[in-house]
Amino acid sequence: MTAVPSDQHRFVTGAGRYVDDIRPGTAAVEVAFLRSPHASARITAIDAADALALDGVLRVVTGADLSNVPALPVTRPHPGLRLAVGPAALARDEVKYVGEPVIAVAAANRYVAEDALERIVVEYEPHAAAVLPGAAPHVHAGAASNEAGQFVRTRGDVRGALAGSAHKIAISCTLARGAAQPMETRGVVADWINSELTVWWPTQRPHGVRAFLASYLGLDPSRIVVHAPDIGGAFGSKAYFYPEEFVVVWLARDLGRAVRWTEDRAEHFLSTYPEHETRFSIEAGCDAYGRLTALAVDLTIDLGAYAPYGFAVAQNASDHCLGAYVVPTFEITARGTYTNKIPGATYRGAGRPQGIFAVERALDALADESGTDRVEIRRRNLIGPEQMPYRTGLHPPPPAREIVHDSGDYPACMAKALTLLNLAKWRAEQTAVRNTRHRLGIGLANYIECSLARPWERARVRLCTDGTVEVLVGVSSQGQSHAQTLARVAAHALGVPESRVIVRAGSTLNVSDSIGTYGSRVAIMAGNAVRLAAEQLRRTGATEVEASFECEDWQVSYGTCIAVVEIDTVTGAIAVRDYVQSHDIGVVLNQTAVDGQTRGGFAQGLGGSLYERLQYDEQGQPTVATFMDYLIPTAAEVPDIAMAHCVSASPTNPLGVKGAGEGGIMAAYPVLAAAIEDALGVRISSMPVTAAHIRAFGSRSAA
Amino acid sequence: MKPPAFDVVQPATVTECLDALNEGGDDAKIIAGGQSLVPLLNFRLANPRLLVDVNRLTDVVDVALGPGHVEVGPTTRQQALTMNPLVRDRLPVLAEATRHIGHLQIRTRGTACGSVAHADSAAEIPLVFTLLGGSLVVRSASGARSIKPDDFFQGYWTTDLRADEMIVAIRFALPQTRFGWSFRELAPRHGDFASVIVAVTVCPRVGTREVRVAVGAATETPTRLAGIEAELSAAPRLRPGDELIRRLAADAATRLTLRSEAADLVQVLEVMVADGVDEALAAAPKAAA
Repeated sequence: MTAVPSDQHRFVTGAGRYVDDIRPGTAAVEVAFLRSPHASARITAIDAADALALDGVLRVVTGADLSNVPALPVTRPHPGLRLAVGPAALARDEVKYVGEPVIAVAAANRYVAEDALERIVVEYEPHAAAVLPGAAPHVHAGAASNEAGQFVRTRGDVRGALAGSAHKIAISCTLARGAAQPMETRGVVADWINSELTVWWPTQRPHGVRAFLASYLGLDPSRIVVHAPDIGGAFGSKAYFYPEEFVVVWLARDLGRAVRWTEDRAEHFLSTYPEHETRFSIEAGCDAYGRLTALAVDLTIDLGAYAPYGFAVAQNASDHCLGAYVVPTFEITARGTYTNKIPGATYRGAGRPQGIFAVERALDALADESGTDRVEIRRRNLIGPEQMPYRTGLHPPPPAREIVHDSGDYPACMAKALTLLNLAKWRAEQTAVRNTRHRLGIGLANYIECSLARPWERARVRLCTDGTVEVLVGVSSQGQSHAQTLARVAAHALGVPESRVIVRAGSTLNVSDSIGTYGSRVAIMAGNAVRLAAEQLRRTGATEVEASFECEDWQVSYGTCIAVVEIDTVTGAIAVRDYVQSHDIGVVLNQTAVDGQTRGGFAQGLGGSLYERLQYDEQGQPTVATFMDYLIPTAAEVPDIAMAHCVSASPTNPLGVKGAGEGGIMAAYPVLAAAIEDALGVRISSMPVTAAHIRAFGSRSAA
Repeated sequence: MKPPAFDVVQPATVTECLDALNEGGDDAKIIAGGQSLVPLLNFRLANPRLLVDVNRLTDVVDVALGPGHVEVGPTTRQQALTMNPLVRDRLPVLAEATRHIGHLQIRTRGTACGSVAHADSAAEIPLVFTLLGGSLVVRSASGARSIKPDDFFQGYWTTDLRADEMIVAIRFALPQTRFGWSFRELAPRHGDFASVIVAVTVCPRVGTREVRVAVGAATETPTRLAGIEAELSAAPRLRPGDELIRRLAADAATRLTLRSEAADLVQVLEVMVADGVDEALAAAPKAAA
């Protein structure tokens, strides 16, 4: 029999089927959105009469039409989140960010819908906008301030330990994150037939969407089917229940017909949630030997106008502030503050890169202060293999357990990274060009990545009458090669060739329930669920088994990155001359997929370190709203990287795997900051660092 | 983004094209490669009711050698200039410049005349046109005229072209002999709009040389550095690396009126002008020393 073609083959031969390719049985009505031009304003009047009169326009929906629809959910409630405000389905009385959806028009096609938008008159009374965290104008009425909340975790006497330290540092820094900008923008197709809803929604969480729609539309979940079609990238930006998708589904039921919306790139910049900037105040101390005595991190995340993910990013950041190190006393304060900007959500790493940034910058500063080599100070502080499993003393909100490093040899991994490049050669070249126009710099950073695996995931395995094996999961794929990985797990468990396994993913029809794709959890949770189902099938002789894999433990992946940069001190251009990553993701199920994920994460980290920055003027207008200003590195800017694997199987699950999807981005920011510092002898306190910043350093020292 | 509704005509001759422009008035716009116009339409920043598509014109030149110039017609793609043997041989600085226009996909559609008509301050072809000199062959339903580059580029996004006029050809002046040249562009990423462009030619003359230096992107319009051109041309001897070149480059960079976004590029300009003159000089026939 012929082999089942892999996903990769489909995608590169134009056989992918994305949401914009979906054509329901009857021609779908198309929706366009009118969006707020103001960062903060009261809506005083709406006149849509001219729009409704236009041939081809079926419906105009305003916030008033959705007055019985509550605010969209704040997923992941958090005890520290005092003021939890979810986005409006459509803004009703107030707009709180430029781009916020105000009105939806349903028309025969998108051209007519956009013509209709031009004919709608909305009157606004603009207010002053809160653009910087802590700014005065209140984003939400009735709130005492814009602080959404905060939480602190401590161990030991940090202040005392700092005071008694041989060396200590206090630094402030900021890390701008940015927008995922997947190749495929958002979109949705919804069809309402015989009181049943079928939705094609490229989401990271099909069952989550079903539960959300059931709740918000007052429908029994059994009347809703959600399919995630092929998805062209998500990186955390397609896990929420956005206003646009909700309104389109609402319209499908309201009109009793198929409705669709495809987001264009201009909209994407204004409406798909990025991650905003994090600001840090960090104090750290070490003894005379460079061993950490204390670490205090106070971080503030700019949440934007609403908190669709509550404090998830802040929690992840806080959880990663200790990095790969033994930190005897700590105090980690995480805050979130509202501003009149597009809501911040999750973007690859989802807060973990922020935590790693804090601890790695602290170590670099401590190394410089104490006169210790930056690599050596890390060697002296890494958690050792004999300390595994290592209890961190970090307790996320229940029901999550204390974060425990499950397995690993961090010093060996760092040592391995150092063998991936010729450090002596680079140091010699660096010395040779020391006072010339082009300077070299070398940086090293370690990271950990706690996968957000808990609590469970389900998989179904079926023996088909044609001799193939069908694996069905609820988690969807956005380009991670899940199908190949899960097929491999099933094939191995059943003792059949991989070519005989077909994986169906991302539909509520596949399994009874599912949590979703995020936090590098799929290999761990869906992978083990597949294995469990396959083993049960093999053992019992059944032809179909659905199994649930449960796990409350943490899996901690880790790695070391080393970067060599070359800086043209006249133009400011920064080129990455060498970049290596040695990492451990436990047992490797799919080397090609892992390498691809790592390279992709690195490319995004490079973008965030050197090119990408979302910017706003004093009125809260985004001044970066197209690819002309939001610079994503292209193939010409992203160098090849050398990678090496260490393997410490995780004792937390039968497959021994850990999360692999986001490791590429975790240490990219601090390692590039360190390399630039090493090249120029300056202190980097803000990222991204662009050519303009480098030129400014030069003119300051020349003055 | 979807554009508002519009009509399209596809004339076969320049005369028909000009008549359509004339009848359409302010509501008519030429579309050639569409690489600048189509995004404007899709963002609804431009709303012409009539697009006059020049891609079916049969009575225009592609690339031709004329007396003292190379003539480029209204449908000639930027990529065609990169590949054209005449351009590569006689105007290599132009061939090189086109390689920096956006990405290949853009160059296979975008036209040279379109680039000049659009007059983006960061555009490469307007800069080389300014560097080499020459003229634009401009026609309307009511007549024809010839425009020199200095008269054409009047300000930021502003040209002398009227709504009913069409650029029928660009005539790039041909230097009299083989010449040395340099074309350098600074951009944030490969393919981005330029932050700074510096182009230089060094042509031998009896007993001396003619040096031309043009700067773009950092300035509102392509700008010849006339002051230093004269001194460099007149210097009794000139070698790459000479202190005179450094001094004049620094002088020119500080005197130039830069766009506000380019305020921090003075030192970059100075270095690029000096390096550009060095490169062109090194490549010039020995007689230019």
